Amino acid sequence: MAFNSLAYALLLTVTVAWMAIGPSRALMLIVASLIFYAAAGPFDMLVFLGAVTLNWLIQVAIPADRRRIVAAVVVNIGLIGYFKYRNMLLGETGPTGSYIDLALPLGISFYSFQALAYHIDIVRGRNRPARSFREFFLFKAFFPQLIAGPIVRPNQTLPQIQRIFDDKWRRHRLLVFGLSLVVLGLVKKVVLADSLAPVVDDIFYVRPDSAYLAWLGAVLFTFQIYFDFSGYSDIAIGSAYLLGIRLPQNFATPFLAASIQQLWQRWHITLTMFLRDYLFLPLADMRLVTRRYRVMQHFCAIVLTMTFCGLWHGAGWNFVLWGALQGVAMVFAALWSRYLPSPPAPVGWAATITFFVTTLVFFRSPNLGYAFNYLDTMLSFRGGWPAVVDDAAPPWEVVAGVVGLFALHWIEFRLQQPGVLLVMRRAEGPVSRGFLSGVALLLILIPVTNVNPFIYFRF
Amino acid sequence: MSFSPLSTRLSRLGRFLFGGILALLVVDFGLRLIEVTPLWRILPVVQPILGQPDKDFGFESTPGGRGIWTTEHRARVQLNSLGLRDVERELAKPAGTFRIGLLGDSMVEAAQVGQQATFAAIAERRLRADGYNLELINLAIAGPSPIRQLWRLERRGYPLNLDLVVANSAASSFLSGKLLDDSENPAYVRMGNGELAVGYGFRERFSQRHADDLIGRLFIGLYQNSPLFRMLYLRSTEPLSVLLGLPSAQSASQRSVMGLPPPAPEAARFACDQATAALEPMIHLWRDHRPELLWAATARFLDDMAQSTRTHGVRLLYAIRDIPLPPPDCPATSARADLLLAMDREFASRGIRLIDWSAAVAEVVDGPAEIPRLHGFGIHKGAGHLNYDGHRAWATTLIGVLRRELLPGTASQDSAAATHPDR
Repeated sequence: MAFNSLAYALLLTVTVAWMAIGPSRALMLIVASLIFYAAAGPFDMLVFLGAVTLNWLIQVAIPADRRRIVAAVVVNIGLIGYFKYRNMLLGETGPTGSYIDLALPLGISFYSFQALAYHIDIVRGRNRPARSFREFFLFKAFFPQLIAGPIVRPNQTLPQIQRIFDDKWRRHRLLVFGLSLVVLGLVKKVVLADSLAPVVDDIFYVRPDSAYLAWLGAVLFTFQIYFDFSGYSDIAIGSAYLLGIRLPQNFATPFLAASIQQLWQRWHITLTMFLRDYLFLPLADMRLVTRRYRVMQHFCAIVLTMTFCGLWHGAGWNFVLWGALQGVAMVFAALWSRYLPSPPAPVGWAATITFFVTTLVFFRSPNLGYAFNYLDTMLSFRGGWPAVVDDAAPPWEVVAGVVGLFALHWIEFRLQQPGVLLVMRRAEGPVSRGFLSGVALLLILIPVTNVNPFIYFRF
Repeated sequence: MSFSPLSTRLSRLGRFLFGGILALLVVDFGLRLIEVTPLWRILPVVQPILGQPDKDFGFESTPGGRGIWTTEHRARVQLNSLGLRDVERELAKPAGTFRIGLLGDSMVEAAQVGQQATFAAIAERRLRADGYNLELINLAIAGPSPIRQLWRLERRGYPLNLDLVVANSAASSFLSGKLLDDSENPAYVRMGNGELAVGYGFRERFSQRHADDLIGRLFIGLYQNSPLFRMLYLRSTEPLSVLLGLPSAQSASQRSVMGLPPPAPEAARFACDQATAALEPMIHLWRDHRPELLWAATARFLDDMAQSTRTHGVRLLYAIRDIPLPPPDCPATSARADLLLAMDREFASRGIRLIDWSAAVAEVVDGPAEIPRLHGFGIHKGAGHLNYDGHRAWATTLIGVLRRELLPGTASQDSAAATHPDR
C-alpha cells in the first residue's frame, strides 16, 4: 500500500482514531500492519511472515551468543541473497539488461536488515529482547516503517512498542508536527518527485546526445530520488508520530553538505548508521595488520562498506561501482583533510554535489555499459546550448527550475530549525489540524499521469 | 475517560472544518498558480474538460475552453470562440480564400501539442508560404464515433462556408460499434420496423437531464473554472480500486524497472500475422457487408455524409487511417488491396473520394516501419497520438494530398516535400 494513496489515508485515520479512543491498541496496530502489507500480494506476505517467524525462532531457540548472530546472518542475508542477488550470481539478466529480480518481495532489504540489527544488539546486550512474539511481530511489522524504513534499531522503537502492550501508550500532543511531516512528504513525493519522474525517464530513455540534456537528466534524477525517498521517510516518521511512536530522522538536507562524508551523514541516515555500526566498525577494528598499516585498513574498510552499500541498493555491477566510488571519494576526502587545507565551503559543496550527481548515473542506468555511454555524453560537453524546438521549455527556464530545486532544498533546511517547532506549538489546534489534514487528502487526490511507485520500494 | 461539553466539541469540529475549507482554497490557488506560470510544464495540473453536455451532440466543445492537456504529453490547449481547436477565425470567408475544413477525432484535434505544432497549422503555414490563399480549419473533436464528424460538420463547419472537407477516421472506428451506440452521442439505432434512425439515448443520462437546470449549470461552471473541483470530479469517476490506490506498489514496480522502456516487440516477425488478423474484420465489413447491422449503420453514415456535403455544395475527401500495412512478402498484401478496392467502391458510389491515409503517410516517411515513431512521446514513443515528428509528417502528407487532388501540376513539389518530412 503506497503512502500516497487514499487507502493508506483511510487506514492511518482509522488507526489513529482507534489509538486515541479504542481498546487493544497493540492488536489494532498489528491488524493495521497486516492490512497495509497485504496490498503487496500473498507471495510477499508469505515471505514476510516466514521471515518474521524464522527470526523469532532464532531468538527462542538459539542462545544469545555468537551462534545467534551467525544464524541471523544466514537467515536474513540468505533471504536477501536469494530473492535479490540470485540473478546476479547466476548471471541472468532481465529484458532491460538488469539483474534486478522483478518479483523481489516488497521491503525485504529493509526488514531483513532490521532483524539483523535486532539480533546483534540483543546479543551484544544493548537492548532487552521482545517479551513475546506479538511484540516482536509489531517491532518488525509496524506499518509506517515496514517497506522502506527508516531502518530502526530495537532500542529506538521496541521500548515504545512495549509501552503500548503495557497499556501505557500516550498520544503525542503536537499532532500538527506529525501532520506537517506527512504533508511535507506528500509534497515531495506527489508534487516534486512524481513530476520529475517522467522527464527523467524520457531523458534516460532517449539516450541523450547532448551534454546539456545528459546533465539535466542526472541533476533531475538526483532530486527525484531525494524527494521520492526523503518524502517517503517524512510520511513514515509523521505517520508514526501520529500513532505515538517516534522514528529516527532519515534525511537532513544532504545536498547542502560541503563534503562527501557530510553528505552520507545526512543521506539515508539510518542505513549509514547501520553500515557504520555493523560493518565498517567491525572491519576497521579487526586486528588484521600492524599499527603502521591501520590507516590503510581503515580506508579499505570505508571502500568495502560503501561497496556493500551500493550492492544493497541493487543487484548490478553499476550499483557496486556506484558504492565503491562513494567509498573512494570518502577516502580521498579524508586524505585531503589530513594533508591539505580545507577548501572554502562553496567549493567543497560544488565538488560534492557534482560528484554525487555524476555518480548517480550508475545508480539510474540499467547496466554499466549504458552508464559509461551516458557519462561520456555528459563529460564530452558536446551539443552546446540547445535551441528551442517543438514547444520545449527555453533553456533559461530549465536552468531556473534547477536553481529553484536547490532553493527548495534550502527552504527545507530552514524548516528543520528549532524555531519552526515553536511556531507549530503555537499553531496547534483544530484549525491547523483541519488545514493540514485537508491538504494531505487533496495531495493524495492529485491526478497522476504515470504510476510512479516509491523508488526505494524495489530495494 | 472524560469528554468535553457538546458545545466545545462542536466548536472544535467547526474550526476543524474551517481549516479544511482553507485547505481547499489553498490547493485550488496552488493549482491555478501552476497553470499560469512556466511550472505547468512539470508540476501537477488538472487536465481541462473542454466541453459540456449537449442535447443534440452528446458532448460539445465549449467556446473559449482552455487549459493544460496532460495525457501523453503536456500542451496548452485553447479553443477559439467557435469552439474549435484552432486560431480565431471569422465566420465570413475572406474574399478569394479557399476554405478547407479538417474533420476528425482526437488524432486531428491534437490536444497533445501546441496549436501551432498541429499538422493542420503546419500545413496551412507551409501552403500559405507557397503562395496559396487558403485556410485550413481544424473542426475535429475527440471521440471514436465517425458520426460525431458529421454532426460537427453540420453545426460548426457549414457556417464557415467551406469549399472542401477532409475527414479523417480510423478504420477501426467503423468496427467499434460506436455508430450503433447512442449512449454518449447520436447514433443509428434500429427502429421497430427494422429501419435505422438517429437515436438520442444519451439524453436519458443524468448529466444530460440536468445540464440546463441551476445545479447542472453550477456544476459545469465549477468543473470548467475550478481546477480543484475538476480534480475531485474526475477522481470520483474512477473505479473504487483506482481511487483508493489499491493497485499495489509491487505490481506497479513490476511494470517498469525505474522507468526503463519495455522490451521492443519483435515487430518484423509478427507484422504479417498482426496485419492479417486486423484486416480480416475490415474485409468482412467492407467487402462482405458483415455483420449486417454494422454494415447498415456504416452505409447509412456514408449516405448521410455524402448527402449532407452534396446539399451544401462541399467536396469531401475521406481519409481512412490505420488500415494495416503488411510487409511486402506477406500474403495479406493482396487482402489489403481487395479491401481498398471494396472500400473505394463504396465511397466512390456516393461521390466521396477515399484516401488511404496510412499508405500516404508511409510514402512520406520512407515506409510503414517508420510510422510508429510518429506516435507517442518519450518513453511511450511508438503508440498513441501524434508527436511533433508525426504532425510534421502528416502535414506533408496532407499537402501532398491537397496538391494531387485540387492543385494539379505540382508533383515535383510533392516529391521535394516527401524527402523532407520534417520540414
